Amino acid sequence: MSTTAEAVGQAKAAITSADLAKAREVSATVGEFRSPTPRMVCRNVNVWYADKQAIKDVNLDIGKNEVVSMIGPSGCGKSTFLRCLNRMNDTIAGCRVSGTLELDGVDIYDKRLDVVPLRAQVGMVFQKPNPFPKSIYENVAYGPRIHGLTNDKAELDALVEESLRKAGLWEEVKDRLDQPGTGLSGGQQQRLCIARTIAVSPEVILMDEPCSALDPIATAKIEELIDELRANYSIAIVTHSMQQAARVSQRTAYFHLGDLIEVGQTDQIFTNPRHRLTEDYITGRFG
Amino acid sequence: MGQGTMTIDPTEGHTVRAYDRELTQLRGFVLEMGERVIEQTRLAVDALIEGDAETARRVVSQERKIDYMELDADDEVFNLIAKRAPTAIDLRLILALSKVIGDLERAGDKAARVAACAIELQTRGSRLPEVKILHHFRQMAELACRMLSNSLDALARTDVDLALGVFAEDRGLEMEFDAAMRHLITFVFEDASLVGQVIELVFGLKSLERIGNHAGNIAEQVIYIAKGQDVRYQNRENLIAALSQRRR
Repeated sequence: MSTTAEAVGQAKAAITSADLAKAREVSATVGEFRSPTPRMVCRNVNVWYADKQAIKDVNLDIGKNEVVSMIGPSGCGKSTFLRCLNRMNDTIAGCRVSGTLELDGVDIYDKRLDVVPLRAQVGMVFQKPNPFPKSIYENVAYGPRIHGLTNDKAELDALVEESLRKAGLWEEVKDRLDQPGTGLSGGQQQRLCIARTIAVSPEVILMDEPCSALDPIATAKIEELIDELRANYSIAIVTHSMQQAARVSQRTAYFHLGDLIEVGQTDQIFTNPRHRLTEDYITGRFG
Repeated sequence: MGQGTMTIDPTEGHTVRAYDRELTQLRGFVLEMGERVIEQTRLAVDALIEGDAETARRVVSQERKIDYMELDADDEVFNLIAKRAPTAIDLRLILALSKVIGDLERAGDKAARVAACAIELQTRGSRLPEVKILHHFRQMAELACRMLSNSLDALARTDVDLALGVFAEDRGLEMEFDAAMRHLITFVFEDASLVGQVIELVFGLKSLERIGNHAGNIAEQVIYIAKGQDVRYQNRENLIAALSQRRR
């Protein structure tokens, strides 16, 4: 059986720069980027930071009641794309976005559109928990109050409680609502931020590495929460944790150097990805 | 990418090189286990043909080593899954190796069964019905060992072509088995007192056929690793046609 030993020696297939170059020539995304029940529809999205193109012709839907995870190495454009979904990129000088992005059929880049209600409809949770320097109650009540979502104190109290319950935080904070939100643990602060997002009745929740600053237990709570939130919202999550993407999302999109390389059912992406670059990334072969 | 259907080597290219080493080590261990099964099969058939009960007894006792190798390999599979949380081709490789380990252990049992057949015939002092029947043993052992060897080479290289070649040999093994059966049945018709030996020989031949079947199972796992396609329980001829067409 010397042939077996020889075969092992012969079997070599390193990732070469030529492979990467070849993959880059192919701009079309592998897999189905459309959702049968789209809530957000993004077509031919390009983003530039001054002269540097960060996103290239990306097409992707975020469907109703689904979690879409976006993965890829640092600088691949996943967070940039996420920030396009509620026009957070507007706040960055020199950032230019082209293409079509719609929420329930409405062009969110329409010049007449007010971004403030848009950002309530498409809420965002960030990497680092960022509660306001106010009480737990006020952190949640602030949004509904400025958006005029409630008529009286009783209604606002009910909304605060409902939001905190949905965020899985109520039982932990119900007796100390007047205490500062910043006094909570990291995981609790992140759930407070999710409660704050939920309080303004969003349709879509964007999460940009929401667990990267949390310990595994707090992470598990957020992941459990994401699964529960899916019943009422559409969720797009950027994560560096492959296992998290595999656990929480129904579809996964792999970005590489500004291209959306592959999108597909999460099960398929993590067991049998179709694109070599996706496989290399999720199996830890570069990055 | 390699030539033909050769895909990437799934044990290479990880940023964490220890992962490469662990996968290479596991696959190497499984290949070593396979080589041992081939060796056991050859020794068992030689012992049967030459009436060498001592060698046959050694084959039976060595069978435990293959069992212990299975336990060690299973441990390694378990550790890899726990430690590396494998995905995609890594996950497919580890799952496939786990199944191959099971097939090899059972193939090892079958080699020992052939050896037991040799011991039985020898201790009974039974004369073989006809020396020609040994030709069938020789033929089937050649085929089964070749299939096993090729399936292991296919595993070592993640070579779909070679795996499909193992399927192509299925029919030959089956035909040889059928021919041996017909041959043995005529002995029983001619001399009913040979029925004990004939049954023993049938067990031996059936064991060789099963070793060939295990080789086929291993070839299926190679296709699973390379293509992510579970081809178990599918018509092998259709499979060869389908996968060959895709290659052209």
